[in-house]
Amino acid sequence: MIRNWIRRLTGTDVVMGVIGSVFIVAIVWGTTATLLAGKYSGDQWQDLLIFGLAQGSIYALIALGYTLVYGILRMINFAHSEVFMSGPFTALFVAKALAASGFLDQNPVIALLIVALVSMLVSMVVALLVERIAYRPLRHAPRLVPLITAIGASFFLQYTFRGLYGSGLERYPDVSALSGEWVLGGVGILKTQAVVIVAAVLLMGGLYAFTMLTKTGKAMRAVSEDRDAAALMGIDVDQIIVTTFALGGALAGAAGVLYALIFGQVQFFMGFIPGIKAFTSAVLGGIGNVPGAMVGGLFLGVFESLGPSLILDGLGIPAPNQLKDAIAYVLLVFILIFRPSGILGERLATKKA
Amino acid sequence: MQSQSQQSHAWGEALRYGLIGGAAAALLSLIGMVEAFGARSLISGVISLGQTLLAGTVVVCAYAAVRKLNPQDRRLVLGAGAVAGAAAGAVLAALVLLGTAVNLRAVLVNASPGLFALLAFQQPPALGAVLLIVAGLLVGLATAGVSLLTGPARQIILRALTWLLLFGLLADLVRIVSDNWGPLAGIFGWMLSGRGLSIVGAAALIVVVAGVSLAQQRGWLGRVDVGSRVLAAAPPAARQGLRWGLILVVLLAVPPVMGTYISEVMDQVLLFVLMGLGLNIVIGYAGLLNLGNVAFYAIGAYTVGVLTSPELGFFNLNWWVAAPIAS
Repeated sequence: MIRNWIRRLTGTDVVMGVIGSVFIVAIVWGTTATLLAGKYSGDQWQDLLIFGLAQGSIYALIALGYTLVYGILRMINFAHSEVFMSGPFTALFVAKALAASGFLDQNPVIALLIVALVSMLVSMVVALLVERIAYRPLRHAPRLVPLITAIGASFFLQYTFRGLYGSGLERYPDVSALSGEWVLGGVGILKTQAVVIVAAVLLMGGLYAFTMLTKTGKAMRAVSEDRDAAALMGIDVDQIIVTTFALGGALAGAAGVLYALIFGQVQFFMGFIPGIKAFTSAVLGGIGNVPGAMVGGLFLGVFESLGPSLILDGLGIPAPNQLKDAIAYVLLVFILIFRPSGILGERLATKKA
Repeated sequence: MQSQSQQSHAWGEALRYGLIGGAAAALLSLIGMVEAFGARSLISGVISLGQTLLAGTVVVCAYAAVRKLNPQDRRLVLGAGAVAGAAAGAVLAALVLLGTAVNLRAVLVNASPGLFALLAFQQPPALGAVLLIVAGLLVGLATAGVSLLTGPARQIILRALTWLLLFGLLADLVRIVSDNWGPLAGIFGWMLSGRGLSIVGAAALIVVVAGVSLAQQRGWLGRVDVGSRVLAAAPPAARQGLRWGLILVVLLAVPPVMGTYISEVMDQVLLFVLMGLGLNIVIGYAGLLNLGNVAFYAIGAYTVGVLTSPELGFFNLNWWVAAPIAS
């Protein structure tokens, strides 16, 4: 049996195994060194973890848009990061108006809901327009064609919004009701981050319930499994695709407002990095898989936030926080090498293979 | 009865295309392209590039509206073109009225008074709005009219317009390039004025293009293809060499004849060609869409930088030695 296993072992496997073990040793070594050194207190770890969760839930919301569209069209919608940007960038002006009239301070809940709704609506409209103008005419083109179109649409939207609203970094008005922190069971959480996490969890739960419980959700799952068969069963595929884009767009718009709550500023270029990260988390969780995108987003956010201090610091690397992007992508590469279909992608792989 | 319903369908379609075109034109205005292009002119003092851009949008939507109609039904075609053009003009007119009444600038940074003045032909807003609708109608009508024409006349008009657009767009470039052409510079200098064509220059251009087209159609020029005749006369083995030699001569002639600006643009173009070739191999033969191919471009550039850097001290190679190592 062992001989058999050795015979099947190729050079690639050996190299991969060695690289993998080196990294695992590095991770374990770095972690233990950091923890033994005791440079960070428990509170700091908590803060990092909660920030990671907040950031991760934003990634997860955006990743849902990628994964929904990929599940149904088998196409990576690179314009999704711009859909994410368009909502909060437009809602900025509503937020400014609300802040100027004092409504934001008097009724923060209603005001934030209005801002979020405007943002979701704008993102949804942009997503639908992109689908209608850029993707629908290419529905039956080779797969490379809509991909390139998506990149083009992404640039088009970026610079259209730059032309419309200007290229400066715009400050979002501060919500005074959300400054400071809540203390839950001895753990202090910044109010904005708590709101972000709760809102994201609610939205993700809503989406999951929608895809699992409603008739439209069932139709979406059917189309993602086999588009032709679904069409033969009387499902209006175009309608489902439009619904999917609308859902993804609305989630991206909500994610954008949450992003603006945490980071406090918007710009025409703000979608690029979160978009790439969200795409990464969609792949990480297994693209085309709704719970996978959620898990992948949260995982990436937490890993990105904890990883530099936890692993790199112990290895004696200076200024580890600058390397958080590198650590996120190294994680992606490793997960894709050892588990090509992503964390939750197993079912998907057997189903679609 | 059926044709009537088809007709009303055509009117509805024309209106729809007109509104879409108007929305596109309004977007172009609001993102600042029209005003930026307005600083340059197609024909000095007559029409700016910004106005050309708007007119082009109207032309496209009017053409889309009349494209599938039956050309026999002239009234319908002309009417549909006019409706589409007027609808597009009406959207822009609404934008002008809205923009002058409300301050859009708090949100849309490019909705400046200059833009609305440009859109309203420097007239007061109400008059400007009417003028916009009329202008849209005329452009739509003209588009439909040209689409109805067939044969020589259409070809002459389209060619003249194309050359006019080309010259107007590239006016600055033509000036830079023709500066070191000695006597020819005088001719181009006479055709160009301000930041566009001069009126005389535009007229001359149209006459020349129309004349050449007409002469070609009538067969007065004979067939002018010396190049392919020489190639055909040469033996097959020499043909390949001749072709490559010609390409080499053209490439070598670019810097002295066209000047530094065009040479730099050509540098960029050929760099992208090289990168495209690399990507072509990866996608075409391996089927892998490598979005990270430019990373290798960066690696090569950094390697050459490090190897030739005198500050680092320990490499400091000649560029010709460093380049092969980097690649």
